[in-house]
Amino acid sequence: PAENAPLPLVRFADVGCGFGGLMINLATMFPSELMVGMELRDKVSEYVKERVLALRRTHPGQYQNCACIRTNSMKYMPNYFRQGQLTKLFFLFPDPHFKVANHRRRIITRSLLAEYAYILAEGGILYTVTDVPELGEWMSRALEGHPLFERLSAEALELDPVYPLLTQSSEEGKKVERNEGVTCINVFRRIPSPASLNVI
Amino acid sequence: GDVDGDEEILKNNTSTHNDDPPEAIPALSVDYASGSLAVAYGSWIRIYDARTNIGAELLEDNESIRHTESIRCLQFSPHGKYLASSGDDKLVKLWDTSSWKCVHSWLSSKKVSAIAFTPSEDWLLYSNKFGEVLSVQCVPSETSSILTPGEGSHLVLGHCCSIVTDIQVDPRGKLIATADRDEKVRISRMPRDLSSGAHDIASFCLGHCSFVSCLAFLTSKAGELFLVSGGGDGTVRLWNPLDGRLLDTFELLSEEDMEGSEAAAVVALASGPKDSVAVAIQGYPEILLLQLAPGGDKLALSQRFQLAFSACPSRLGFSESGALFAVALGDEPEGEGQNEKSSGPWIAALKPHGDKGLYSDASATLLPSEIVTAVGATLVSTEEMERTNLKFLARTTRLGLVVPIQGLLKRKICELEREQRKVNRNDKKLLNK
Repeated sequence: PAENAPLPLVRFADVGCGFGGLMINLATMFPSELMVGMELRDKVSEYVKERVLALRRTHPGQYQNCACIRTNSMKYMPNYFRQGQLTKLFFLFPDPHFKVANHRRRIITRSLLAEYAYILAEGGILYTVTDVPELGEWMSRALEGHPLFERLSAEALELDPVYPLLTQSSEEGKKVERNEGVTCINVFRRIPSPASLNVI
Repeated sequence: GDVDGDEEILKNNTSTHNDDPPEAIPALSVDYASGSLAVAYGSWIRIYDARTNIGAELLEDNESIRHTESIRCLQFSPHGKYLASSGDDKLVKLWDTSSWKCVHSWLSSKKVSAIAFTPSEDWLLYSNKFGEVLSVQCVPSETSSILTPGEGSHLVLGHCCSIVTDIQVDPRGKLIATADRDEKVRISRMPRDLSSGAHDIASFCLGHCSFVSCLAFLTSKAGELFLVSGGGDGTVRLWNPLDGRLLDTFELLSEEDMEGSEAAAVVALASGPKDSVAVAIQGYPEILLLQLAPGGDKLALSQRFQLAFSACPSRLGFSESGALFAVALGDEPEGEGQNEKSSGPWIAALKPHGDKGLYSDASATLLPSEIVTAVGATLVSTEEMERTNLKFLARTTRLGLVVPIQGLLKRKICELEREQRKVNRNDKKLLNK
C-alpha cells in the first residue's frame, strides 16, 4: 500500500468464530480483505491464534489478512467497529439458549440487530446458520421484523461465493453434515434507513 | 505473600454488592417552565406548585398501586403537563400536574433505573436493569387495581447485558441518548412510532473508562446541540451527539489523586440556560458549576458551592429563569433545644447573579420554608478554590458510598479467583479431549 494511504479496515467479522474454520476459508477466498474472528472462550481463541500463525508459516504470504480476538461481542461490537465498517457479518451455529428465560441472551435479538445494522455498511450482508429449527425461526422473525434488514433472494444467495462455506467450512457445520442434521440459513442485507422511519 | 492474600480474598469475597436493599436517595425534578419542584425520598413524593404556591404530598388512593419502595426516578414532562415517578417497586406512575392525581400506572417486570419523556409529552420511556428501554403512552386511563408486568409497554431498544443508567431525549425530539454501566453512551434516532422500537443508531459516544451515570443534552446560546455525560471515572465529558465525537473531558480528580482510591463518581448532571452545567459528585458536599466555553468545545469550572451540614447533593434541576435546585442528604448539627436531629432531605437553591452565567445562594428566598426545608449554599471564593482544590476535598470528605452507585461498580476479581472461576467453565474441557 502507498505510504500515505489510510490503513485498510477490517471488513468481515465472524462472531463466535469457534475453531476458526470459516475464517480460514474466507482468508484465501478474499485475500485482499481484512477479517477477524471474535471468540469469547480463552482456550478456543488461543487455539485459533496458533492455527493462524501455523498457516502463515506453512503458506508464506497467505493468511496475513485474518486474526482472532478474544472478546465478548454482545457487549463490545461498537468498540471494535466504526459505523458502516463491515461488509460481511457471520453468526454460524450460535448458542441456542433453549430456556425461555435465557432467550434475551441469544446473539440475534431485536435489540442487538440495531447494533449490527450500525456497524454494517449499507448493502453489507449478515449471515446466520443454525441446526436448531426453533432458533432458525427466531432469527428469521427478528430479522424480518427489523426495518434495516432485507432478506437476500434465493438467486442472490446461490450466486454468493460464501454460501457453501456457511455449512461446510466450520467444525460445527461439518459435524451437522456428518450427522445429517438440518440447517436453517437466514441471510439478510443491510438496507438504507427508510425515509418514513425516523423523526426528521 | 501475595498468593496467601489472594486466597484470603477468595474465602471472604462471598458477599455481592447487591444483597442489602439499597438506601433511599432523594430524587428531585424541577418543572422547567414554572419552577415547580417535586421531591421524592423513600416512597413519598412531595411537590411545591410554583403556579399556585401550594405544597403537598402526593397521595394514591388505590392501595394496590401505591409506591411502597424507594422512588429512584422522578421527572416532570418538558412542558410541565405531567410528573412521572418510578423505582424499586417496579411501578411507573404518571401524575397530572393540574389535579396532582395519578392518571395512569404501569408495572415494569424489573426495577426501573431511569425515565424520560418525549418533548411532545405523548410518550414516557423507562429503563430497567436488563438494559431494556421501554415506552408507554401518556394517556389517562382507568387505573386498574391489578397490573400485569409489562402490559402496555413496548420495547424501544436494549443495551444487552448491561444496566441502563440514564435516558435523555433531545429537546427537538429527534434523538434518544441512553447510558450504561459498560462505559457506553448510545444515541438512537427517534422513530416516528415509539411502539415499534428505535432501530436506527446515530452514534456511540465512547470514551468513559467506567460506568456512565448521567446524561444531559445542552443547547448552547449559539443554538448548537451537545451531550454532556458524567461517569464513575470522575469525568464530565462533552460530546457531539450526532457523530459521537468527544469534544472535551473535564476531570474532577487528577491521575495521582485517583491512585489507590476510587474515582469521584458523578451522581447527577443538569444543563441550564446560558451554557451552564451543574454537577453533583457522590459523597461530596458541593454543587459544581461548569460553563461551556464561548468557542463551544470545552467545559471549564466556573463556580463551586459548598452546602451546609456537609449535605451531599444527589439530584439537580434548572428552571427556565435560571434558578438551580439541588436535593441533598446531610446531618443537621446539634442545636440548642433540638430533640431530633434531621438528616434531610434538604434543598439548596441558587439563582443567576449578573448575566455572565454566575450564580449566588438563594435558598432563603426561593424556597418557601414551610413547604420544603432549605439548606444554605456558600460560594467557595476563588482563593479558597485554589487552596482547597477538588482533589484535596474529595479525599477528606468522603461520606460513604451511595449504594446504587456501588451496584454499578464491577467486582474487582484477583488473578487467583479469576483462574478458580474458570475451572468449571466449558472451555476448560478442551484440554481433556
